[in-house]
Amino acid sequence: MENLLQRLAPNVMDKLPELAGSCGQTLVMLLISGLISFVFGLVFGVLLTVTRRGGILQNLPVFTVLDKAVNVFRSVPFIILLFALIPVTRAVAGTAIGTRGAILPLIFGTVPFFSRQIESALSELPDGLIRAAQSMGVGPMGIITRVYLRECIPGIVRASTITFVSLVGLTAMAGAVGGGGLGDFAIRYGYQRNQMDVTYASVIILLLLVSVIQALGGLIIKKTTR
Amino acid sequence: MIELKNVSKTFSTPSGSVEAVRGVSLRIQAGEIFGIIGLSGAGKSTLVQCMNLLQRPDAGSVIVGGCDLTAVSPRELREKRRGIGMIFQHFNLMASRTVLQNVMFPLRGSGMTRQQQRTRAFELLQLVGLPDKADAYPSQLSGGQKQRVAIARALAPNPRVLLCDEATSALDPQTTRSILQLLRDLGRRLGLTIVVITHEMAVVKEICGRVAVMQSGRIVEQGDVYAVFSHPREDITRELVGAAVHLRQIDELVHAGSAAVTPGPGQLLLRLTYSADNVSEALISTASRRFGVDLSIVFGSIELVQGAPVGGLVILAGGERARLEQAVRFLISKNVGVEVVLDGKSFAKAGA
Repeated sequence: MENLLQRLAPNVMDKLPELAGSCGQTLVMLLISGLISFVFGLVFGVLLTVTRRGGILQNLPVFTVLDKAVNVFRSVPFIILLFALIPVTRAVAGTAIGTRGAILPLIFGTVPFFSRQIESALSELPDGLIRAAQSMGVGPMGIITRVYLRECIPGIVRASTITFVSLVGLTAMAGAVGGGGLGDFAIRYGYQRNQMDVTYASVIILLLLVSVIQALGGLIIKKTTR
Repeated sequence: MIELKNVSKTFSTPSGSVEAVRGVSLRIQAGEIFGIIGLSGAGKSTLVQCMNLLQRPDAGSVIVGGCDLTAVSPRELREKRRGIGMIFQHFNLMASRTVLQNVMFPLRGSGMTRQQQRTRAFELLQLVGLPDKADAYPSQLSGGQKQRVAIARALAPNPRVLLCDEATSALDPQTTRSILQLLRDLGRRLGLTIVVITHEMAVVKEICGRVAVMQSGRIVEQGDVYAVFSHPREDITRELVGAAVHLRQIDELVHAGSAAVTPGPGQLLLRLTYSADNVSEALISTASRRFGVDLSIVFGSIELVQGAPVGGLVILAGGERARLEQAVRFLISKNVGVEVVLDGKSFAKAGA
């Protein structure tokens, strides 16, 4: 077995510890920026929903600012965002390089996308449910937590799955600021040194990662859809 | 129990502003079942949503149980809303919650323990006849069952008022009837004040004591359901009542030139409208015998509204013209409304 792998992927077998390290970096970036993005995206998605015209906490200034900010950040390509944010990253994280330096840009790259996804998931909720809750004397906070977030769980999970998968794609660019990770590993060895087996190995691992995320999301959606 | 004073509500839409409710004043007594009927777009849904301030009126006041809802703080308003239940055309149940959890929904924050909430919700499911569906999800229920759950949910906080916004419009006639019966029962048993919004006169006829007719944002007619049914004053009311009493269908037949309603030479096509007390008398056979005329019934529709008959007959009357006129006069003297729909002599429309 080891012989076979040695023959098929000599370059990969050479750097197993580095491969494992890259996997670790990718996971760290995914988990930390994913978790933080989830919270912010949820908050902004809810704000976009409730402050819009006709929303339960209509507030057009807040809505407009948020809406425009989301558009601006969504229109900047991530690789540029990565460099453009260097001063902010340095101020917040203390450094702009390495895995630590990649997390803030990853959050900036993910939150706007996720906010839109959440906004669209929440907009699926029939208006009647909001009216029914209001007629029962439920306040705005109650409507957000007990109606919007609770009733839209399948939609929120779907949005999270899509966002998480696209976040996997973004982490591959983190190498540009020395963030490491599987993408960086593949570029440095697979592309720059033409070690194709490294590229394929990275692709297979990323594929597995995405499949697990997708399967997990699908499972939760199935369990929560009534 | 509910008093609206000069309530107005205007919506601004991209295509201009729509005055949904224009200066409506209304008093609904405690314990009564009050109907508000109108065609779609008449503003009745907006009006009922003004009663718990789901729609805040632009002008006027909404007084429920002695409290002016337009004057209280948002927090107090939410508290007051717990005393005003509401059910909807599309039920608006929470799909992710079981039937029991749906009924428990409004009880959160009411000071009850979770166990008390469960007990209360079970009681209500028993009241609406669905105790065995407690653990089902709304998607597993039929329309009628969903509305029963919605009623249980609306009644969970023990409100004094129940607003029904087209609550039976998405249901078939049989289910509608059973839901209306349930509402009537519950209203009586719990001493509820019920407001029923509908476009179907049949619904009003079934359960309401009093009714208001709405058109273009105004209440054009209101009163006892029987009075409104038997003596509609406004065209819109006649139209709505006609839909329930079917007598107007004859106009369509006449218009289409149907042979069944075309009087022969010398015959008259008459529409007789009955009210309260004269249906039990053998008016047709008496008239026929006494004046020697042939009266044949083409079509009839008599319904009971609050236990008294409303409706009438369409008949073809044949015989000597002088005797026919005597017979018509006799019927009029017996308080029967008589209208000549077609005259076989001239084929011209005439009124009597």
